[in-house]
Amino acid sequence: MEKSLRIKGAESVLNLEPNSSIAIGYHALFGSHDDLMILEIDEKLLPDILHERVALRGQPDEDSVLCTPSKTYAIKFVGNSNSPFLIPPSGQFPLCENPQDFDGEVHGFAPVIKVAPGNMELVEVAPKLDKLKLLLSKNPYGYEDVLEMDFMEDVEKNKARLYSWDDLVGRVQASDEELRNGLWALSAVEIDGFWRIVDEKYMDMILRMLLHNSVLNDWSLDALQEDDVVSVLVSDGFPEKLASHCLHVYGSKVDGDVGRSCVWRLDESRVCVHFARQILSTGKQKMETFMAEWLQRIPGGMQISFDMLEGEILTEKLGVETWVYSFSVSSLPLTPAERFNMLFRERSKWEWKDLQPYIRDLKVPGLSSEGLLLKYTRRSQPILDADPVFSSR
Amino acid sequence: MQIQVKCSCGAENCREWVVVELQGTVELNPSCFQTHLQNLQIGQLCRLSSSSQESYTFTVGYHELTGSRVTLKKPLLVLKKVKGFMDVDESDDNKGDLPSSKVELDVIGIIRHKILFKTRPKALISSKLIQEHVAVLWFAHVNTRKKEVGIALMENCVEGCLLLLFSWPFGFFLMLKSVEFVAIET
Repeated sequence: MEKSLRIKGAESVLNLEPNSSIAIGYHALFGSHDDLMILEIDEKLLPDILHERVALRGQPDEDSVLCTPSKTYAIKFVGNSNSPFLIPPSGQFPLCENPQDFDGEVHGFAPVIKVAPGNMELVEVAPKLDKLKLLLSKNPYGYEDVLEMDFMEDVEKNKARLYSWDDLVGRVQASDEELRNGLWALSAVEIDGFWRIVDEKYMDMILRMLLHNSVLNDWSLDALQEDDVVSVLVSDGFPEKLASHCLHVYGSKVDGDVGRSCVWRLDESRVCVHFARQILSTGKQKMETFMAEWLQRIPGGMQISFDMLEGEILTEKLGVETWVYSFSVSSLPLTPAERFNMLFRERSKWEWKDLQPYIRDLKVPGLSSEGLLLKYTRRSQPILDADPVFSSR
Repeated sequence: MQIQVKCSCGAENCREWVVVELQGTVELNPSCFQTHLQNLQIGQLCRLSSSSQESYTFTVGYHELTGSRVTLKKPLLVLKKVKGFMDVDESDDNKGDLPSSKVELDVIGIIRHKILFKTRPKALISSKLIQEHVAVLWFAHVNTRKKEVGIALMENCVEGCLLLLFSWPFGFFLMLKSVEFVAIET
């Protein structure tokens, strides 16, 4: 009884009075305890961890990352050549039944459970969203999916290639918020519990039908009633979910709407870019031909502008003629090294005004956009006052 | 797969651990018959009286370290890997994931302070401190011509020897009073 009272823990070490002492020794359960890990964290992450809002994510073949609700952190192991003796508070590990007999003058005994060979540290990183794109683009939602609705067997067969939110969380190394933003950036939609990218041809069908309906029903593209739009599209044979998804992708909600139905305004730029992409999906075109066709395809009342196509198309001069072709930033990798690799494979030299739309979305924690350019490009300026040209390192 | 980080101690009352950190490593004396580290005493941690700075000594064998209490810039969490069982319906279509067992990490403690000894150890030959549980009597035999110091160690000193006075032919005095000990060297 008396003996066990003298077995103390971390609190006795922390509260040691001046001019007093405590024995430090090995715990009866001292060992390598590989299941005990030390993680250094920023004070600001502490509430998230203590309130269980944090998880490690990754497949067995990936380096796992730690995700808070909004950020992703790589985990680095940092070794320590010193000997940090870990002393738990009393009572956390079963007490030794037969502690070595220490002299009565010792005021207590604080047992060491483990010598930590080092600790883990967190480094904020960009979410690994390329994998999200890869997973979802394997099986985009298209017209076949609508037809297959009647054949449950086929749906079952395809199920393995579809991903629910929980499947994605287990496979994509990103925080919940980053994953949601990633899905939004891909214009993905949750259909029957699975997140899908919608095939561009199918989206084109819905959008053209929506524009067609708006002409027939005399709707204003600046004030589309969601209920009306969706019910008419459903009667045209499109699933309700996809009909409202079309409004989300090409429009934005108008604030201050009255009544129960939401009001949407179609976004001029997004609609026009969509038609430009459609035109160029078959290959490159002469500038004049492209502009004429683009102007003809867009809905009445909308204005085209070449600036809309930043990050979507590139132009090249062949002889006296200028050609345009599709080169969309959304088709490029999100990791900087791979992004620059693809960019320099497309063109060996980039002017700043061309390059900027293709790298402005890159975000690397701890690295500014100037830092990115320094790291991945070589900047040259043929003449003083000339625009700088960027080439591969 | 996802490994949830749990905090079984409850958010606000995560228990505080402490680290005593030394330079180098502590080895088991090979001449010692002891084969297990468990339950062995490493040393004696003593907080000094000096007011403002929290300074400590750590006595390991016949060596003394001097150090201080450091508040960590960033706290350290003690995580424990816990193996649980996956619910049956959860393992359904997760063919690529690890089957049957589900791992969780549990936060079992937080470390905000360490007592850091970053100096080299100082030998305790001429110190006042003596190991309390082993009464040790040191005899200093100094050969003045060869400038060699021979040290003899006698364990289990008789309890009654409160005051000993040795008169050495070379003119050395060694006094031992209770557990206090004074060595006079040339």
